Amino acid sequence: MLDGALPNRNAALDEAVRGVEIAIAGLPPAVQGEVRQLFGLLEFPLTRRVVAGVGPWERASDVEIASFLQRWRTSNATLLRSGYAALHQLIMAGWYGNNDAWPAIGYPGPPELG
Amino acid sequence: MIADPIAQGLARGWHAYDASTFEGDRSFDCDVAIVGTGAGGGTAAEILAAHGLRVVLIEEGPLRSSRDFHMLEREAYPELYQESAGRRTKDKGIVILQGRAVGGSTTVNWTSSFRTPPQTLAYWSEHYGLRDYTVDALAPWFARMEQRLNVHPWEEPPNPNNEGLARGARKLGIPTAVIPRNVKGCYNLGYCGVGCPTNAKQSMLVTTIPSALDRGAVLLSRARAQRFIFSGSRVSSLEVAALDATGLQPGPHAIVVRARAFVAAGGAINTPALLLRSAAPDPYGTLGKRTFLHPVVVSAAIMPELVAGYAGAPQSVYTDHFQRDLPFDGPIGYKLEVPPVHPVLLSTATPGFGATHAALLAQFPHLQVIIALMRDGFHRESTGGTVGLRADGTPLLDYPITPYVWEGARRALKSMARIQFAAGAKNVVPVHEAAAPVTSYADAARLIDALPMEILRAIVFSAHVMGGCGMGTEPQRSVIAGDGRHHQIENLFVFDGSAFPTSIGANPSLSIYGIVARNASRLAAQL
Repeated sequence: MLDGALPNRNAALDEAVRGVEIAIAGLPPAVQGEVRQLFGLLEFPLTRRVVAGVGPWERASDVEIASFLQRWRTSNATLLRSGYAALHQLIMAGWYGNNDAWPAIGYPGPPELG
Repeated sequence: MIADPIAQGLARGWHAYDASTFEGDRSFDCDVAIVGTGAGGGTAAEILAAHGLRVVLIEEGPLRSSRDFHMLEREAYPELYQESAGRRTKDKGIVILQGRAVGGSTTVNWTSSFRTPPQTLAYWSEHYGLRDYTVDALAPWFARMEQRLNVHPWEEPPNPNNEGLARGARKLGIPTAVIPRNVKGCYNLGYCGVGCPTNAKQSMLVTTIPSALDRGAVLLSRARAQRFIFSGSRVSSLEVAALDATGLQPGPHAIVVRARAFVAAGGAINTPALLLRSAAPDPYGTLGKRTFLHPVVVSAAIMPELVAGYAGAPQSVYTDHFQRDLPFDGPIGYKLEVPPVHPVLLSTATPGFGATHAALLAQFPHLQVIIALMRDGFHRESTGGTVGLRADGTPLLDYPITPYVWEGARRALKSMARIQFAAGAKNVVPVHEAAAPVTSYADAARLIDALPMEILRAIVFSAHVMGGCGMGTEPQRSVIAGDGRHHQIENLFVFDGSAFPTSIGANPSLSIYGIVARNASRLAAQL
């Protein structure tokens, strides 16, 4: 999702993951349950192969992951598009909410209050 | 150091309690219990308390104030918004920005303050029998709240993001106007949406609520109104759950609030949901129906110059050219404004992922963004959505977007692209998963005509939730009367945006302030 956006991939990924965890922690229980279902679906080997079309995540290439995201994003099934939308929302919020994301996009951060 | 009126009030001994810290069950007796502390609850609290009535305010969100507002989206969205600013409709097709804190959405809104448009009032009078909802009858109430909240047209030059809308429209001969804002001594920072750090925004948090608390009102924050208990045709008490330390779910302790009158002012998703949980009488099946959103579509432009849409008053220019004189029985009209452009808001709204997404985000300081707010609820093919309950009793809005609304979305994307090219845009990107940047209006029009208008392809937002407990003279077609009183429950009043029979056709905060000021004054006189 953030391919091309991260200045220093490994350190930045840790920040992004932390941001996603914070974003999820702020959701009400019913929505957290939906997120848990989504991640469960993407984690469980059988459903992962069927709905995401990829092998174990740690061995998936960038190209495989991108093609999974693209399939969900453009799917005719609104359920898959909504899964993509949830991943997009959580990951973008998780990354772009933190200061490390800002230099690459030219955002100076909030002003100092005198 | 900026003075914090909440910290000062707490030091003076306000009866403001964080219910998540309660160590046992509690009960409160008062004259009026008010659920919600936003535009409706805040306005009502000040007026009722000023009449010497004992008021208890019940708010699900936390009490936060300027000392907590650090101009950071990552803090503000989980702390101050419903569902971390990611609340969605049932089919996930629309993202809803709605406040959840003391002050409600007024704590996080962008300060645009319009009186209810005359056409809207005329429609209510004609279709819902609301004969005293005339421009003249409401004028003194709007004037009173404008004075109370220092509403005045923004006097500084618009920031370049707003100037982009003004310039493009001017080139095309489309009239624009300056937006009235509820600010006093505004620093022109641009961070209204994450809690005003300087207390310049005259939100309920720093105006009416402190005034009510100074007169002895009780504020319970992190307290969720669960259900009204009825006795015949009256509410006898309100059951409230003290939330746990996360502030997201009920903790072990219960609160009971007894009052002579009860005001529902939790906003147009939570108020219908509270009545649904309470199994309130609904003989004609009108409760929760006709919920409106001003569905918003977005157009982003890359400008040659620096725009810096994160800095400066977020909304100061608008045009009603695409709705004001249009008949309600024709295609849907829309108001054009601009949003603040901040990293989380922009990155989550920007379609695509990976390199394409990163490439557009790299243009961040050059982005000029316009939003179109569609005026829903005035046409037979725009009947809005329905509030229901999830298994755990929390609300869920089902809002199917009809072809009538999608037609407006397509037309609005074209209007915005035309204005942005006229303003000098190098590229325009209609915010849609199937759109790529285009370099001319002709290309934009061709692209937009071909875009599939479906949920989760077109990106649709809402920041204005209205209806669901609509006013009207006929109980068959409404939930409450024009004075806010529930048709079947004599001491239950709805004082918030859920009372509106249609959308407003403008940012709704001042409509809520003015109408609630009148209805709360009538209630105070009766009590």
